[in-house]
Amino acid sequence: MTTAHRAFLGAIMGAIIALFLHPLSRPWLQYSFWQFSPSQVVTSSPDLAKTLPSLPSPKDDDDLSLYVQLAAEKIADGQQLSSQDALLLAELCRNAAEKDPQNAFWRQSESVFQYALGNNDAAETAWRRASKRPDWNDFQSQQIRTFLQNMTEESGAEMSWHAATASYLRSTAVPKVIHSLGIKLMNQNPSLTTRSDTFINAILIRDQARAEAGSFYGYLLAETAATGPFTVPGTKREKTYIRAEFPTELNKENLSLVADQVDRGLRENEAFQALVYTEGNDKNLQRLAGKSILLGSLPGALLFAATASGLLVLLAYCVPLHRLGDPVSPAIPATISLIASLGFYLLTKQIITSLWILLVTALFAIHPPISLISPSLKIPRLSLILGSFFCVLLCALFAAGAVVLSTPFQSLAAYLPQGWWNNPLQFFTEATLLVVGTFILCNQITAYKLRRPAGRFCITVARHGLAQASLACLFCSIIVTPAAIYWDSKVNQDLRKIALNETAYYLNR
Amino acid sequence: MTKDEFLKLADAVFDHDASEADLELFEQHLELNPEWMDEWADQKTALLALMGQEPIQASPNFTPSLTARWQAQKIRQSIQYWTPAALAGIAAAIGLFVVLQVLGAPIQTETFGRPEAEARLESNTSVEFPSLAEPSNR
Repeated sequence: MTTAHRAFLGAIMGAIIALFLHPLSRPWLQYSFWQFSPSQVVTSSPDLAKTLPSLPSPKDDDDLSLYVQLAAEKIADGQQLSSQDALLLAELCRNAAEKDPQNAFWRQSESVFQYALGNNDAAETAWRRASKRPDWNDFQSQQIRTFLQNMTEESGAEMSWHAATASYLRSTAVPKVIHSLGIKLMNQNPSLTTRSDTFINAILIRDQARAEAGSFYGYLLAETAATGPFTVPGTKREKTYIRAEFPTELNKENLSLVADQVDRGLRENEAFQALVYTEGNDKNLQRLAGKSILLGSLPGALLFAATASGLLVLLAYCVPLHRLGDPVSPAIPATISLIASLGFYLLTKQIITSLWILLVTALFAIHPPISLISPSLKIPRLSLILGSFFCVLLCALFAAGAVVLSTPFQSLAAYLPQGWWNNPLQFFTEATLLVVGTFILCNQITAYKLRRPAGRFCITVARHGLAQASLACLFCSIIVTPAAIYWDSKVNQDLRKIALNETAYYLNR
Repeated sequence: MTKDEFLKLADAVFDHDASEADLELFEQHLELNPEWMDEWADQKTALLALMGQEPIQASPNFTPSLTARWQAQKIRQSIQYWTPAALAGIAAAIGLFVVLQVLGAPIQTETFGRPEAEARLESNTSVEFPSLAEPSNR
């Protein structure tokens, strides 16, 4: 080793030790390196309705909102609440509404449960009362804050994938159920008063649901209330006319204050449609979530790849090449290749991959006669470069595998688009066999040309290539870790805004 | 490096005149061209025979290349050999610590365009919109 080589090795080791010692960087190395289990907070957080392991006793409004969200999830899934549950929830919501008179959420929820009980008049009364409230708060933002705090404690650092997970875990079942109830109430009583009450209730949800999907239910309900609950025959132009006439109808009934409110709400609806409910918001969130996964797991994944590659180097050096005797009989590699390919075929039923294994391993049976074997141990430079290239590819596969198995990926996998990561075992088996097989094939050809035993040649090249790949991964992880911390803080700013108030994020971007 | 240069370098190594850099160079070329070492050993034996000296009969396990490796190993075990690695390691660790300290400074979260917009996260004020007649306000 030259002085530069030794200095390079020393610098890598020093940097890795520093990364493990510093409290800021240590948490970034855990995922994909030694943390592969799913996050306990994500799977069973008591703070969110979607992760709640068991219902808490309703001590405060925060707990009660979890009850309401869970019940709404059930109704939204098409299930029915039992009469006892609906009655209990209606009573609890009524009590909460008395204690929190500004919040329309309780009255709207009470209306949902009264309607589920068949008390249509009580449902209408609660619905009308809700429209007189100025605020709408389902307590999810506070719950998400607590969830994010718990995630930070679990990880040891604030990471953007926490906020990405929280964004997807925000429940929109309550706005969905309220939208459905609003339509039913208008169908039941299509009077101007019910339409205006529904419109105002819908506007409250649109403004304060804090998730694009939840807010959209409010928007839809407001539009339905403006045009009326029935299917309007005629062209889009006629529908637009009916919608625009809604405030005029209210004015005619001497409801000028409500008419002003509706007029303003209709104009705001157009602004919401232009700014918030735009195409590509889902993809934007998915893109940010994808970035957050990579930033949270790539430093550890590179270290994992370096370690795996390093272990393979050690394994390659365990083979005592200089003590090996003459090349083995061709029957041995031929038999092994047959067994390996047949076994793989029986396990997976993949004929092409099995044939690939047969081809690659059976070629070890062909070697030059012992009398012709070259005494030289020199490895051509091109073989070393090619070998290193394939080993780097193998390390990239190791790193990708570690990312897919990492906690951030597992927490967000359900919300990502379909891809090879949905069937990682098959992908990595095939990709690894392709890379390793091509590496072996190239070296077999070169070894035959140089009149050298192919197995020993492959191991010698692998020793060199894997060592290079391992060093490259270590170097990359040192560069990537501070960069990931920096970029993650940037991505986190956007994702936190989306998690806490997605509607405001899109309105103000 | 040509074969002649290697043979001269081998002489220097076995006469203990080689520097550390020469030793590294020697070792690299020894791995690449082990047959040159055999040739050097043959020449050395022939030279000793010409001078009337008995060539040293090395045991089968004690070859000149093994001696050269032993020389290199001795140097590898010395502290001076690893000093550049240690210095570079310390420098890299300090550099990374500094970078991480800078990154660890509290980051100010960017507020939304209007201060009252951020307040909407805390309080349940309704979203303020300009009328459609005044689109330039947005």
